[in-house]
Amino acid sequence: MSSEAPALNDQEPIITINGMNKWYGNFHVLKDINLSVARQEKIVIAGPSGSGKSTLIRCINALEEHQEGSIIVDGVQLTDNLKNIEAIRKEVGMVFQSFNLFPHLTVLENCTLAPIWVRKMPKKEAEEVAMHYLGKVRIPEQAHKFPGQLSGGQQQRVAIARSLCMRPRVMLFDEPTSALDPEMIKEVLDTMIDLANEGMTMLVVTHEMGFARQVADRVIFMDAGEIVEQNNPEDFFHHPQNERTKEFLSQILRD
Amino acid sequence: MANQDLNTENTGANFKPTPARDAPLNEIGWVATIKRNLFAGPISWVATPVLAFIIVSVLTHVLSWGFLKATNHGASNRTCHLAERTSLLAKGDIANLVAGKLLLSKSYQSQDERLFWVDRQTHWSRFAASTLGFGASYDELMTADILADRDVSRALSQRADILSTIQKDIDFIERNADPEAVVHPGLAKAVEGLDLLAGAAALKAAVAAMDPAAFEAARSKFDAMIHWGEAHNGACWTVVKRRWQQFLYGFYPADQVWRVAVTGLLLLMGGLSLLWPGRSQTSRSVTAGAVALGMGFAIQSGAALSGFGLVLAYIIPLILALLYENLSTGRRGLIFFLGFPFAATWLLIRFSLPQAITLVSSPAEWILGLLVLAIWGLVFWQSLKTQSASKTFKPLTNAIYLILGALTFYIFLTVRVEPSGDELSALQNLLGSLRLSDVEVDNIWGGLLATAVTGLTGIAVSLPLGVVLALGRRSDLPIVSTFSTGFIEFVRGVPLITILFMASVLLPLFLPEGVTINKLLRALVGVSLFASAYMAEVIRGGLQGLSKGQTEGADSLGLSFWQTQRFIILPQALKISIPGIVNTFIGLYKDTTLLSIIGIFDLLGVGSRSVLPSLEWARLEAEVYAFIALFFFLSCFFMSRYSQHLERRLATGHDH
Ligand SMILES: Nc1ncnc2c1ncn2[C@@H]1O[C@H](COP(=O)(O)OP(=O)(O)O)[C@@H](O)[C@H]1O
Ligand SMILES: [Mg+2]
Repeated sequence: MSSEAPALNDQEPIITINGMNKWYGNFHVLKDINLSVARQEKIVIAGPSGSGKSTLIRCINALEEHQEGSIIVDGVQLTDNLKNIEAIRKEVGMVFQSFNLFPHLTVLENCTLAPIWVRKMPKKEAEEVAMHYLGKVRIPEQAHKFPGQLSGGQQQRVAIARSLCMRPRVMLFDEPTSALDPEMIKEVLDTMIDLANEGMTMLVVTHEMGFARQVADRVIFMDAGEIVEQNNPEDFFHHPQNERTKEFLSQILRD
Repeated sequence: MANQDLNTENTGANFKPTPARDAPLNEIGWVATIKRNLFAGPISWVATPVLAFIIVSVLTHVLSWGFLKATNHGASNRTCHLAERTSLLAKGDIANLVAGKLLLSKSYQSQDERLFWVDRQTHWSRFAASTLGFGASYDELMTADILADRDVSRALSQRADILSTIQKDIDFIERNADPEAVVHPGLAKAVEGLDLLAGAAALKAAVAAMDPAAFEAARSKFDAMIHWGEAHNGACWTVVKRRWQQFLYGFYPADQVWRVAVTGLLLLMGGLSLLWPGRSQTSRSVTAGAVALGMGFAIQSGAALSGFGLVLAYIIPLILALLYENLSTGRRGLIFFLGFPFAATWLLIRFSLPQAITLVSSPAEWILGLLVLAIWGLVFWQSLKTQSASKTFKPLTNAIYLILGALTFYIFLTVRVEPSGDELSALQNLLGSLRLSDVEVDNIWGGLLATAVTGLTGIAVSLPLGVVLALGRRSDLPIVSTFSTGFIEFVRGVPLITILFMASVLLPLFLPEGVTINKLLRALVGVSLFASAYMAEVIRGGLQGLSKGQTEGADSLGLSFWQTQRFIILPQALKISIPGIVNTFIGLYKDTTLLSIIGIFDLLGVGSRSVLPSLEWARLEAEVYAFIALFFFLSCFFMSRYSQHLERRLATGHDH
């Protein structure tokens, strides 16, 4: 495996995680994680609160560092080398539960900041790209407002557009709809479904099982820092193998 | 779906919103407003009138003292004292004395009862004067004191003597008449044709005869004069008017004062156009014109120019000011923050740092100069590169860069022209003639000049240093965070005066032999470091107010640490911290008054140590301190209002 030249081979997985372990102090939060994500694959990660879902996807763009094992993203090995971390973050977009928009910048500035300063894109081009993606998430008319003037659903769509402006190869979503009022969940999920249909590689932590059924190629169930079970949605929801999965599904699908 | 079944009568075509009604009348309108705000409950029923009464009486007292009865005539405190003396002959005052005398002569039951009455009046007068600031004037207090002494006859004959003193005062002023020191015109008219000495004799005779009626008759001849005295028995602004230059410039050489004025105007123009970036082109041009005119005037009056030089003195500042005002805010900021410190030090002391650090030889000067030139070269190179990249050549920007570069070169790197007997080359002669004369640095700094230099330097240094310390204290690197924390805690834990003394006494110990740093520079370092520690904590508070999500959002986009600080963290943290930052600025600014303790006559020092101790301004403490207090209040109030304006300008919706 060459870490020099980014793998352009479409067959090769875009993310490979091998025997990864992570501790918070003495607390073993991720245990022997092995996961490989193919290009254009959509993965939904489910599991009870505190099972390590967020921690797992945050390790992928090095928001958290892992202590053992390897993570390779698009041919680049994640070490504590700052160069590698920055290279990976350029290719991996992330959408947070609490949006994390920059409240002092307009929507447009939120979207152009990173392309201009990280991708060194000329300002004009960055603005064109930003308007393109704001159109895709269906809020181009809000470009000159501040995030504080938008609804939660609109803010989350801006956050998605902001990540897309970096033209990432992988998108990570950490419970993108959990902080939203019910009537706004759909507009965000629709945006994500559009994105999936365009072939983006996606890792989504969510409790929206409808979304998982419709979009996911694979559903991963985590508990207590381990990947307990993974399967295609059909089998995952109808023929769960593990007891913990069954219990979880019975709780979450009850209503 | 389920919801619809629950309240069918309110849904579908049948639904009509209930029309809105007007608010009840007794809830809106000005009567309601007054009632709600001023007379809401029993406490406010009492508090409102009492506080209103206090406010009104304090205000009327201040107004009448500071404006209505104030004088600014004469060349010393004499005219003012004249008014005070004259008003002592007022009817009410005399009547009090006479009444007191009659009272004392009445046969009371006992000595005790009499003393009780007198004590009560004394107490009341003192109470009124000290707590409410009205009712008891200086002379009323004297009346009370004299009554307490039970020596009314002495008081009355004192009043008679006053007339002779007034005569002496008037004679003195007329004898020493200089054009600016004329006796107040009102007084001249009021005493016309009066024989003050004869009047004094008549009053004395009446006192001796214990005859209030005769006393009153003799006194009433001087009604016009007394009236004048009462009308001018207020603040004596003469002291501020006559010592204005010293308050402003301290002990700066009088013939060089224009340089301070030009520096101040440069600051004014640079500051104004940066504090209000969004002003219209017209208002910016008007500012530029006004400031340039002021500069021309200052240069002309300082350098005694004529002919061609006179024209240049007005034209050059005007052109530069208009050019400057036409630049974008960013460019103006760059030029101002890079250029003003050099321009100011050059104007004020001719040399910048190297002059302040008196070096026998000049290698340090050269190193410093080369450093500054290197920075300048980098910035200029960057600008040229962006210009060639965008294919827009900016002649104005380049001209300004070149001027700045030449200035740097000139200030730091030219060989000093020593006034030795040696032959000077033509080049050295030319350079020498271009130079402003050296101003002896020690002991000239004073007045508003010292206050402003210290305050502004402190503000300009403490903000960036505070940011660095705040970031340092939160750093993951133990050495950095320990150093920052140690510095902050140490400096915050030590009184400013101690730091100023240490800067005066300890700093020289760390410097190599032969190197001295002047007093003001030491004070500047002390004040700046002190303020930085406070600033760091204020900014750290702002940093802590930001959620971790902001950093994570920036990280996830691939922004580097410094990009994240610059674009995401600091703008928000500084915005949250504006009230605290301005609070620190105001504190620092007022702390500059401590400079007088290490022997620098700041604005307060000029007043308390130079003006007041002189005989001609004796007993004018109230005026001098009121003036200084008013000045500090106005500048601090401006800062506070500006910070509120800034907060409003930076508000972006209902976050935070
Ligand atoms: N910064 C941290 N320090 C210590 N423990 C943490 C930290 N962040 C998360 N944890 C713990 O790690 C576990 C997994 O957290 P997380 O990945 O957020 O779970 P999930 O996203 O599945 O709800 C939880 O038990 C949580 O308490
Ligand atoms: Mg989570």
